[in-house]
Amino acid sequence: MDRHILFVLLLAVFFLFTLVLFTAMGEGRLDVYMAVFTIEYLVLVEVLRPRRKFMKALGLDPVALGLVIIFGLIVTRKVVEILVS
Amino acid sequence: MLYEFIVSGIIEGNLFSEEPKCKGLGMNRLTGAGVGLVGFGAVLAPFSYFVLVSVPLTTLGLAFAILGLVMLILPEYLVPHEVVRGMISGSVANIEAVLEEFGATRKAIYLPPREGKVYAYIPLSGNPSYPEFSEIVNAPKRIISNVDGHPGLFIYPPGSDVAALSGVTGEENREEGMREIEAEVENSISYCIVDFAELASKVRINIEENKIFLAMKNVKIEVEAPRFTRVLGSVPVSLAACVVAKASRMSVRIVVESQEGKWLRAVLEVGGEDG
Repeated sequence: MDRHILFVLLLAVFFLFTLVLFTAMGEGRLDVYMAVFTIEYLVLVEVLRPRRKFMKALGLDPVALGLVIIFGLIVTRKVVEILVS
Repeated sequence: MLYEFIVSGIIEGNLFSEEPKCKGLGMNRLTGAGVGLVGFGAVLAPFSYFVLVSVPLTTLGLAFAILGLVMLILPEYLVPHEVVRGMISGSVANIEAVLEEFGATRKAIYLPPREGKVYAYIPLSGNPSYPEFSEIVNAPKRIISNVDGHPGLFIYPPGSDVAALSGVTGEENREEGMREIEAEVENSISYCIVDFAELASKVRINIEENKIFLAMKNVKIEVEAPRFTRVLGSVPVSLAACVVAKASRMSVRIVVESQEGKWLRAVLEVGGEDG
């Protein structure tokens, strides 16, 4: 199977698995889901290395960049919450 | 659209085919499915968050949107590796035949690009010295050329177009030495070999003065062409030489090349105004 198809399929399976598992566990925080999605995406990209359209200046693809920014915001918010409390 | 995508794209294996295009939109199947998923996710996520107040459904919408975006950033046309390998083998076999015919044995010099193309000058045996570099650059680019009394071949290596297609650029009238452009050359080689051409899984580069020490892990293409390898280097190293010539706008010569386990190692010499 072409690794690009494999990448899309595995990503869908991982997302679905995460969603079902976390919902069954009663997880209600959106940031937890997003953090796990980000990690899954980056791990799959690193393992399968699909060819993607890059943002040359940053050396990242736009989806990875968006997810990393969201992940960064989540972590920053958590750190601020801990420091404030 | 989703049903069509699943049945025709995944089950029948037409996901990356160019045809059929989405009627009226001028998109291929992958782009169409991507747009569909992004649109669905973009509606589902805010509706679930603000109206239904359901985090799992919101997450489901976001997952759809991410998957759709992933499909949009994948390349539209994917040529199977076997086809690429076959075309490279054919190209190499042609050059091998020309080199055999002329009895070329000496190392080629990869020249800075002219009109976007990197040429390699191969001196023919008979004259032990290389001609002046400026003479080689300005010589007419015919297959057989006489450069200042030195007969030689001008070959258009298979990696020349790949380097051009990958978007590697070198600034005109560059005045810096290798030290100033180390990072650019490193990034260009790594991007071109690993991400663009996918000829190796990893590339390590070490630059010392005018020498580039190159190591490539798990090279995915092997072409049986001893004369080509001896003169122009193996296919991935030849591509690396083209990239360096294009990025640095200097001449490049492959000094030595060897296979050590999973690693293919080569030393490239950059510059050399005297050819």
